[in-house]
Amino acid sequence: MLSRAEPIRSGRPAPRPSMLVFMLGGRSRALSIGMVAAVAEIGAVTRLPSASPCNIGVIVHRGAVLPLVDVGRGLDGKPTPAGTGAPPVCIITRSEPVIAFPVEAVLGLQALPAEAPAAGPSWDVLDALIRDLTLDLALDQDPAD
Amino acid sequence: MTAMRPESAAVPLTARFALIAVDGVEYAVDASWVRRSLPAPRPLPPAVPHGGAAFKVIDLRQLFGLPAGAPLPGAAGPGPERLMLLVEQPPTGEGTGGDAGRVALVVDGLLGIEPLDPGAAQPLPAVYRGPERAWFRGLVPRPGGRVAVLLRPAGLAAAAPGGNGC
Repeated sequence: MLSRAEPIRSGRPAPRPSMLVFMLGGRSRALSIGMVAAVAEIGAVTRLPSASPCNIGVIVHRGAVLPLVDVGRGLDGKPTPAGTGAPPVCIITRSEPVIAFPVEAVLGLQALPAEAPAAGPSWDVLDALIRDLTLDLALDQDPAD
Repeated sequence: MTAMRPESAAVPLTARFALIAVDGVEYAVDASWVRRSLPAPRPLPPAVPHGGAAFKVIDLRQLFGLPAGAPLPGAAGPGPERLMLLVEQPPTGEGTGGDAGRVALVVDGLLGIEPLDPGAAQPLPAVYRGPERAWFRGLVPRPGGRVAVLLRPAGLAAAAPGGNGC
Protein backbone atom coordinates (compact mmCIF):
# COMPACT_ATOMS: atom_id res chain seq x y z
CA MET A 1 0.00 0.00 0.00
CA LEU A 2 1.05 3.55 -0.62
CA SER A 3 1.62 5.83 2.29
CA ARG A 4 2.25 9.50 2.51
CA ALA A 5 5.35 10.40 4.43
CA GLU A 6 5.05 12.83 7.29
CA PRO A 7 6.09 16.31 6.19
CA ILE A 8 9.45 17.36 7.48
CA ARG A 9 8.94 19.72 10.37
CA SER A 10 11.07 22.68 9.36
CA GLY A 11 10.39 26.33 8.90
CA ARG A 12 8.57 25.89 5.61
CA PRO A 13 5.85 23.32 5.13
CA ALA A 14 6.87 20.53 2.83
CA PRO A 15 5.05 20.59 -0.49
CA ARG A 16 2.19 18.15 -0.64
CA PRO A 17 2.88 15.08 -2.74
CA SER A 18 1.07 15.42 -6.02
CA MET A 19 2.73 12.88 -8.24
CA LEU A 20 2.90 9.11 -8.24
CA VAL A 21 6.38 8.18 -9.42
CA PHE A 22 7.13 4.81 -10.95
CA MET A 23 9.53 2.97 -13.23
CA LEU A 24 8.36 2.32 -16.76
CA GLY A 25 10.56 1.34 -19.66
CA GLY A 26 13.62 1.55 -17.42
CA ARG A 27 13.02 5.23 -16.63
CA SER A 28 11.33 7.18 -13.88
CA ARG A 29 7.90 8.45 -14.89
CA ALA A 30 5.14 10.14 -12.97
CA LEU A 31 1.41 10.67 -13.08
CA SER A 32 -0.60 13.24 -11.12
CA ILE A 33 -2.27 11.49 -8.23
CA GLY A 34 -5.57 13.01 -9.34
CA MET A 35 -5.35 10.76 -12.38
CA VAL A 36 -4.64 7.63 -10.36
CA ALA A 37 -7.50 5.53 -9.06
CA ALA A 38 -5.41 2.72 -7.62
CA VAL A 39 -2.18 0.82 -7.65
CA ALA A 40 -2.87 -2.87 -7.75
CA GLU A 41 -1.08 -6.15 -8.06
CA ILE A 42 -1.61 -7.82 -11.38
CA GLY A 43 -3.28 -11.15 -10.89
CA ALA A 44 -4.57 -13.30 -13.68
CA VAL A 45 -4.33 -11.71 -17.12
CA THR A 46 -6.76 -12.89 -19.79
CA ARG A 47 -4.94 -12.39 -23.06
CA LEU A 48 -7.65 -11.43 -25.49
CA PRO A 49 -6.87 -11.40 -29.18
CA SER A 50 -6.42 -7.84 -30.35
CA ALA A 51 -5.43 -5.97 -33.46
CA SER A 52 -3.25 -3.70 -31.32
CA PRO A 53 -0.02 -5.00 -29.78
CA CYS A 54 -0.48 -2.42 -27.01
CA ASN A 55 -3.39 -4.44 -25.60
CA ILE A 56 -1.86 -6.99 -23.27
CA GLY A 57 -5.17 -8.39 -22.06
CA VAL A 58 -7.78 -7.78 -19.41
CA ILE A 59 -7.68 -8.07 -15.64
CA VAL A 60 -10.38 -8.09 -12.98
CA HIS A 61 -10.09 -5.37 -10.35
CA ARG A 62 -12.81 -5.20 -7.68
CA GLY A 63 -15.24 -6.95 -9.99
CA ALA A 64 -14.59 -4.72 -12.98
CA VAL A 65 -12.93 -6.00 -16.13
CA LEU A 66 -10.18 -3.54 -17.08
CA PRO A 67 -7.91 -3.45 -20.09
CA LEU A 68 -4.20 -3.86 -19.38
CA VAL A 69 -2.43 -1.53 -21.79
CA ASP A 70 1.26 -1.46 -22.60
CA VAL A 71 1.73 2.28 -22.21
CA GLY A 72 5.50 1.85 -22.38
CA ARG A 73 5.22 0.70 -25.98
CA GLY A 74 3.48 3.98 -26.81
CA LEU A 75 6.37 5.92 -25.26
CA ASP A 76 9.34 4.52 -27.08
CA GLY A 77 7.99 1.74 -29.26
CA LYS A 78 9.48 -0.98 -27.12
CA PRO A 79 7.25 -3.33 -25.15
CA THR A 80 7.56 -3.02 -21.42
CA PRO A 81 8.45 -6.20 -19.60
CA ALA A 82 4.70 -6.60 -19.19
CA GLY A 83 4.50 -7.46 -22.84
CA THR A 84 6.85 -10.36 -22.41
CA GLY A 85 6.81 -11.27 -18.76
CA ALA A 86 4.67 -10.69 -15.73
CA PRO A 87 5.30 -7.50 -13.80
CA PRO A 88 3.46 -7.59 -10.53
CA VAL A 89 2.02 -4.08 -10.34
CA CYS A 90 -0.19 -1.88 -12.46
CA ILE A 91 -1.56 1.62 -12.19
CA ILE A 92 -5.28 2.06 -12.70
CA THR A 93 -6.28 5.44 -14.06
CA ARG A 94 -9.07 7.66 -12.85
CA SER A 95 -10.33 8.37 -16.33
CA GLU A 96 -13.19 7.49 -18.60
CA PRO A 97 -12.62 4.91 -19.90
CA VAL A 98 -10.47 3.44 -17.17
CA ILE A 99 -7.26 1.70 -18.18
CA ALA A 100 -4.64 -0.20 -16.24
CA PHE A 101 -1.00 -0.20 -17.24
CA PRO A 102 1.82 -2.29 -15.85
CA VAL A 103 4.90 -0.67 -14.39
CA GLU A 104 8.20 -2.13 -13.30
CA ALA A 105 8.08 -0.58 -9.83
CA VAL A 106 6.25 2.09 -7.88
CA LEU A 107 8.69 4.56 -6.32
CA GLY A 108 6.19 6.49 -4.22
CA LEU A 109 4.47 9.82 -3.92
CA GLN A 110 6.49 12.95 -4.51
CA ALA A 111 5.87 16.66 -4.79
CA LEU A 112 6.26 18.49 -8.05
CA PRO A 113 8.77 21.29 -7.43
CA ALA A 114 7.20 24.62 -8.25
CA GLU A 115 10.44 26.41 -9.02
CA ALA A 116 14.01 25.95 -10.20
CA PRO A 117 13.43 23.68 -13.17
CA ALA A 118 17.14 22.91 -13.31
CA ALA A 119 16.83 21.18 -9.98
CA GLY A 120 13.43 19.76 -10.85
CA PRO A 121 12.37 16.17 -11.02
CA SER A 122 14.20 13.72 -13.17
CA TRP A 123 11.04 11.96 -14.22
CA ASP A 124 8.76 12.32 -17.24
CA VAL A 125 5.19 13.31 -16.47
CA LEU A 126 2.71 11.13 -18.35
CA ASP A 127 -0.46 13.12 -17.64
CA ALA A 128 -0.82 14.35 -21.21
CA LEU A 129 -0.17 10.92 -22.69
CA ILE A 130 -2.80 9.24 -20.51
CA ARG A 131 -5.27 12.07 -21.04
CA ASP A 132 -4.84 11.89 -24.82
CA LEU A 133 -5.12 8.11 -24.84
CA THR A 134 -8.31 7.97 -22.82
CA LEU A 135 -9.85 10.92 -24.65
CA ASP A 136 -9.10 9.19 -27.94
CA LEU A 137 -10.76 6.04 -26.65
CA ALA A 138 -13.77 7.92 -25.33
CA LEU A 139 -14.31 9.66 -28.67
CA ASP A 140 -13.89 6.40 -30.52
CA GLN A 141 -16.38 4.49 -28.39
CA ASP A 142 -19.38 3.15 -30.23
CA PRO A 143 -22.47 4.37 -28.39
CA ALA A 144 -24.19 1.10 -29.32
CA ASP A 145 -21.64 -0.93 -27.34
CA MET B 1 -34.23 -28.85 -9.91
CA THR B 2 -34.12 -25.96 -7.52
CA ALA B 3 -36.98 -25.10 -5.22
CA MET B 4 -39.10 -22.09 -6.01
CA ARG B 5 -38.01 -19.07 -4.06
CA PRO B 6 -40.13 -15.97 -3.56
CA GLU B 7 -37.05 -13.75 -3.91
CA SER B 8 -36.20 -15.30 -7.24
CA ALA B 9 -36.51 -11.94 -8.97
CA ALA B 10 -33.28 -10.93 -7.24
CA VAL B 11 -31.47 -14.08 -8.30
CA PRO B 12 -29.34 -13.55 -11.40
CA LEU B 13 -30.69 -15.25 -14.49
CA THR B 14 -28.11 -17.76 -15.52
CA ALA B 15 -27.80 -19.75 -18.68
CA ARG B 16 -25.69 -22.75 -19.39
CA PHE B 17 -22.61 -22.10 -21.45
CA ALA B 18 -20.15 -24.37 -23.16
CA LEU B 19 -16.72 -23.24 -22.00
CA ILE B 20 -14.02 -23.76 -24.56
CA ALA B 21 -10.30 -23.09 -24.46
CA VAL B 22 -8.14 -21.42 -27.06
CA ASP B 23 -4.54 -20.62 -26.14
CA GLY B 24 -5.33 -20.79 -22.43
CA VAL B 25 -8.23 -18.32 -22.63
CA GLU B 26 -11.72 -19.38 -21.66
CA TYR B 27 -14.40 -18.62 -24.24
CA ALA B 28 -18.11 -19.27 -23.76
CA VAL B 29 -20.91 -20.15 -26.15
CA ASP B 30 -24.54 -20.52 -25.11
CA ALA B 31 -24.88 -24.29 -24.64
CA SER B 32 -28.32 -24.31 -26.25
CA TRP B 33 -26.65 -23.26 -29.50
CA VAL B 34 -24.22 -26.18 -29.55
CA ARG B 35 -25.41 -28.98 -31.83
CA ARG B 36 -22.51 -31.39 -31.33
CA SER B 37 -18.79 -31.66 -30.83
CA LEU B 38 -16.39 -33.88 -32.72
CA PRO B 39 -12.66 -34.26 -33.28
CA ALA B 40 -11.42 -31.69 -35.77
CA PRO B 41 -10.43 -33.39 -39.05
CA ARG B 42 -7.07 -32.62 -40.62
CA PRO B 43 -6.86 -30.81 -42.91
CA LEU B 44 -9.84 -28.70 -42.01
CA PRO B 45 -12.58 -28.55 -44.65
CA PRO B 46 -14.21 -25.22 -45.49
CA ALA B 47 -17.51 -26.46 -44.09
CA VAL B 48 -19.04 -29.51 -42.47
CA PRO B 49 -22.56 -30.80 -43.09
CA HIS B 50 -24.87 -31.54 -40.19
CA GLY B 51 -28.65 -31.97 -40.11
CA GLY B 52 -29.02 -30.91 -43.71
CA ALA B 53 -27.16 -27.63 -43.20
CA ALA B 54 -23.56 -26.54 -43.76
CA PHE B 55 -21.53 -25.21 -40.84
CA LYS B 56 -18.69 -22.88 -41.83
CA VAL B 57 -15.42 -24.04 -40.30
CA ILE B 58 -13.57 -21.37 -38.32
CA ASP B 59 -10.24 -22.18 -36.74
CA LEU B 60 -10.19 -19.79 -33.80
CA ARG B 61 -6.41 -20.00 -33.48
CA GLN B 62 -6.05 -18.93 -37.09
CA LEU B 63 -8.68 -16.19 -36.80
CA PHE B 64 -7.11 -14.82 -33.61
CA GLY B 65 -3.63 -14.82 -35.15
CA LEU B 66 -2.27 -17.43 -32.74
CA PRO B 67 0.31 -20.11 -33.51
CA ALA B 68 -1.27 -23.34 -34.65
CA GLY B 69 -1.53 -26.39 -32.49
CA ALA B 70 0.15 -25.32 -29.25
CA PRO B 71 -0.64 -27.68 -26.41
CA LEU B 72 -3.36 -26.70 -23.98
CA PRO B 73 -2.20 -26.56 -20.35
CA GLY B 74 -4.42 -28.67 -18.20
CA ALA B 75 -6.30 -30.25 -21.09
CA ALA B 76 -6.39 -33.95 -21.63
CA GLY B 77 -3.98 -34.99 -24.30
CA PRO B 78 -1.36 -33.14 -26.25
CA GLY B 79 -1.98 -30.27 -28.63
CA PRO B 80 -2.52 -31.79 -32.03
CA GLU B 81 -5.91 -33.29 -31.15
CA ARG B 82 -8.34 -30.42 -31.44
CA LEU B 83 -12.07 -30.22 -31.22
CA MET B 84 -14.76 -28.88 -33.50
CA LEU B 85 -17.94 -27.46 -32.00
CA LEU B 86 -20.96 -27.11 -34.26
CA VAL B 87 -22.80 -23.99 -33.16
CA GLU B 88 -26.07 -22.67 -34.48
CA GLN B 89 -26.98 -19.22 -33.19
CA PRO B 90 -30.74 -18.65 -33.46
CA PRO B 91 -31.92 -15.53 -35.30
CA THR B 92 -32.07 -12.48 -33.04
CA GLY B 93 -33.10 -9.81 -35.50
CA GLU B 94 -29.53 -8.45 -35.66
CA GLY B 95 -28.72 -10.23 -38.87
CA THR B 96 -27.66 -13.33 -36.97
CA GLY B 97 -28.95 -16.80 -37.45
CA GLY B 98 -29.36 -18.62 -40.73
CA ASP B 99 -26.13 -19.42 -42.54
CA ALA B 100 -24.27 -16.65 -40.72
CA GLY B 101 -25.15 -18.15 -37.37
CA ARG B 102 -24.00 -21.70 -38.26
CA VAL B 103 -20.32 -22.20 -37.54
CA ALA B 104 -18.00 -25.06 -36.71
CA LEU B 105 -15.54 -23.62 -34.21
CA VAL B 106 -12.18 -25.36 -34.06
CA VAL B 107 -10.86 -25.03 -30.51
CA ASP B 108 -8.14 -26.48 -28.29
CA GLY B 109 -10.57 -28.19 -25.96
CA LEU B 110 -13.93 -28.23 -24.23
CA LEU B 111 -13.63 -27.27 -20.57
CA GLY B 112 -17.20 -28.10 -19.59
CA ILE B 113 -20.75 -26.84 -19.41
CA GLU B 114 -21.35 -24.28 -16.67
CA PRO B 115 -23.96 -21.72 -15.70
CA LEU B 116 -22.98 -18.12 -16.35
CA ASP B 117 -24.96 -14.95 -15.83
CA PRO B 118 -24.99 -13.12 -19.17
CA GLY B 119 -26.32 -10.10 -17.29
CA ALA B 120 -23.00 -9.94 -15.46
CA ALA B 121 -21.15 -9.61 -18.74
CA GLN B 122 -19.18 -6.42 -19.13
CA PRO B 123 -18.54 -4.81 -22.50
CA LEU B 124 -15.28 -5.22 -24.31
CA PRO B 125 -13.03 -2.33 -23.19
CA ALA B 126 -12.74 0.54 -25.63
CA VAL B 127 -9.06 -0.16 -26.29
CA TYR B 128 -10.20 -3.16 -28.32
CA ARG B 129 -11.01 -1.32 -31.51
CA GLY B 130 -10.23 -3.89 -34.19
CA PRO B 131 -12.19 -6.78 -35.68
CA GLU B 132 -12.34 -8.34 -32.22
CA ARG B 133 -15.30 -6.07 -31.43
CA ALA B 134 -17.39 -8.23 -33.77
CA TRP B 135 -16.13 -11.50 -32.29
CA PHE B 136 -16.95 -10.98 -28.63
CA ARG B 137 -20.19 -9.91 -27.01
CA GLY B 138 -18.99 -9.49 -23.46
CA LEU B 139 -16.64 -10.49 -20.66
CA VAL B 140 -17.80 -12.32 -17.56
CA PRO B 141 -15.60 -12.16 -14.44
CA ARG B 142 -14.91 -15.60 -12.99
CA PRO B 143 -13.39 -16.82 -9.75
CA GLY B 144 -9.67 -16.36 -9.39
CA GLY B 145 -9.54 -13.23 -11.50
CA ARG B 146 -10.21 -15.13 -14.69
CA VAL B 147 -12.52 -13.84 -17.40
CA ALA B 148 -14.81 -15.84 -19.66
CA VAL B 149 -15.19 -14.30 -23.10
CA LEU B 150 -18.67 -14.59 -24.60
CA LEU B 151 -18.40 -15.38 -28.29
CA ARG B 152 -20.59 -13.92 -31.01
CA PRO B 153 -20.75 -16.75 -33.59
CA ALA B 154 -22.23 -14.62 -36.37
CA GLY B 155 -19.45 -12.06 -35.91
CA LEU B 156 -16.86 -14.83 -36.13
CA ALA B 157 -18.46 -16.15 -39.31
CA ALA B 158 -18.46 -12.72 -40.91
CA ALA B 159 -14.81 -12.16 -40.02
CA ALA B 160 -13.50 -15.50 -41.21
CA PRO B 161 -12.39 -15.62 -44.83
CA GLY B 162 -14.58 -17.68 -47.10
CA GLY B 163 -13.76 -21.34 -46.75
CA ASN B 164 -11.09 -20.94 -44.07
CA GLY B 165 -9.63 -24.29 -45.11
CA CYS B 166 -6.15 -24.99 -43.82
